[in-house]
Amino acid sequence: MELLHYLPQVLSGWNLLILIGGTIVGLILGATPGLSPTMAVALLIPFTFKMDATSGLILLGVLYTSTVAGGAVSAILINIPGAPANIATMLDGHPMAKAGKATQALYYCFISSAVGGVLGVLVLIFLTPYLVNVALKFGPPELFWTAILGITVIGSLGSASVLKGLLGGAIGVWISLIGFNPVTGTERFVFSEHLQGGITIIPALIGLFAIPQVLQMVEGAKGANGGERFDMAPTSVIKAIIFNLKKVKALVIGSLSGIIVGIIPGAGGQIAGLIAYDQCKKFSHNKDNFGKGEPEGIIAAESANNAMVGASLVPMLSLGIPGSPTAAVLLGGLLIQGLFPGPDLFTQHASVAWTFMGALLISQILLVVCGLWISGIGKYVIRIPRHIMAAAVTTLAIFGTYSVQNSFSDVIIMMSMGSLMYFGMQYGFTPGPIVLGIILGPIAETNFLQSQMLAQAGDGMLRYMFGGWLNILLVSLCLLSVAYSLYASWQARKTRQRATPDHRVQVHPEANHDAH
Amino acid sequence: MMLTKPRQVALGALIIALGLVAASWAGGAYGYSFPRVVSLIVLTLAVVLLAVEILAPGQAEEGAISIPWGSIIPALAIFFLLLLALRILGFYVTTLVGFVVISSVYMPGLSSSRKILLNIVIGTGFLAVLFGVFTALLKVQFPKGLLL
Repeated sequence: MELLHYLPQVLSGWNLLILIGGTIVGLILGATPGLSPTMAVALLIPFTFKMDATSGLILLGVLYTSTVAGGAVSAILINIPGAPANIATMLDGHPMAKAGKATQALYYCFISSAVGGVLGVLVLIFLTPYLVNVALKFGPPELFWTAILGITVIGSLGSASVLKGLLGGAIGVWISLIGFNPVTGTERFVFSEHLQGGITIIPALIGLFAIPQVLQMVEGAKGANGGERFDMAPTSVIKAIIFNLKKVKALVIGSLSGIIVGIIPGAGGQIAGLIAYDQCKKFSHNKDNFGKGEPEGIIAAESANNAMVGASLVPMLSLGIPGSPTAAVLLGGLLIQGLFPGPDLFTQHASVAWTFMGALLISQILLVVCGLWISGIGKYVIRIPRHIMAAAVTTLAIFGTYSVQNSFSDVIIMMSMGSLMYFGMQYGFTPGPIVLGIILGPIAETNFLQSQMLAQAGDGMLRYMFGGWLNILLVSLCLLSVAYSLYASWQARKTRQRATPDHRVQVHPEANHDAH
Repeated sequence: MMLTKPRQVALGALIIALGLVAASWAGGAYGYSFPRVVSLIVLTLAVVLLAVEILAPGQAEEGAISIPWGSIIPALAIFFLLLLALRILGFYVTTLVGFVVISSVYMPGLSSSRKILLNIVIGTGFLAVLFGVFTALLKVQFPKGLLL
């Protein structure tokens, strides 16, 4: 098996160092309230430029895994999830901390994260090569529709509002067109000298993810008191491992939920944890303990979160459709290294692909080791005040953005896009679809223009773009994802509208009564 | 018709979409075919968003999050001043000043010279790490400007 062939490369000196360092940094960043995994990966992409493609991808992959797991530390200790994916962990983790079992809760969290993570990476290793064979059949029109599918799926399934998600994705594509036409070389939409080189992935990624979070951090920084904190009594690691591994049902439910949610592009990690938590509660004998400090709740949620990580990379590495916003950032990191997802990655750059997947597998073991160690120092990590965090992230964003192309214009673009995104977020727009539009826009345009040229020599554009079972399948999937999301949001809107009058009926008599 | 918050958002989206359409159709046809298609898609989505908000309005309070301008404006002003000063004063000095200003402005409780001194120490330490990583290790040269 190819994985075994490339495994020694994973354990070679430099890559192993990156794995260990990346796991520790990722866990600390994940544990820091206000730093999401997506933002952490986006901020650290510039560090990968001077590395070879394999090491760069390993760093980003291990950061993805460890930041998701690290987010549980603040969820458990101060009731603030380090990442949206850790919301479900908070439900039982924080009550456990209140009951004086914070260390146990953290141990369960990292052990179950590793179990779920290993299963998710195994799915990645065994499923990706099959999907890659499908991608071999892709020509320009199929690649165009795949890019569109990525945007529609993230836009519709990954956003709170379908229309706003799709609108964000489409605006992202338009932004990516600023600069030069990739085929004709003509300059367009250059309204300022700073836009002459177009809007590249890194300033957009860092700006859209980091700057709004900085502004959110400063929103309440002055009044922040750091929340409730708990002492961490020492407890036996061995006992925690045995207890955790005995909870087979919670681990299976969590891992399966994570894998399924991860493979569906755009579903995102936050719902993996919540679905797993909900399912585990339904099948548990201790239903009543959920929400009051039930370890099964933590085990299901955390195994789901990390199982989702590997699974979300399956459609990303094989078809170029990221399974989560962080996977979309990772896709950006892949493209910047000159690598394109799909068959080429597994033939011409097989060493990169397999070493990366092997590294993800090893990182799950490191996650337990480093996670158990971090559990001890977690109480210090979460004490970093918001005002220091905001200043540090702003500084890192400036240095990271400039270092990529030595371009001051990139810094201006990063700051401007980030500030605008903050206001966009206040009105229900999310950065994920916009970023994906910026990443996939050039791919969509290049393949659209190539299809146009090929179609002129053949049967015409309409037949070329919509002919063949693969095109029909991809177009259908695009329509299906949008239609399903529209239907779901319509239903939710109707439910809300039905609920509002009932609510008023309940409130008004009381109000009248009070008035009398 | 009441101009609720969701309707204001939809209207804003429509104005942006019209701007994108105008920009895409202003240039010559050569090299603009794809941007035109994209701008029309943006316009369609914005029209649908507005239609949905008019025909089946969401709750008026939906998305009506008040922006804490008092906290946000100083941060935006600091960003703007940082961008102005970066190339003039140099990256390291400007970002150190930026670090100290952001951390001091948003410090909880009353500010004191001791707390500000602590922010300067933390900022200097953080920038020393960035210098080690970017300039010493990755060999990235940042504009020095008048200072550093």
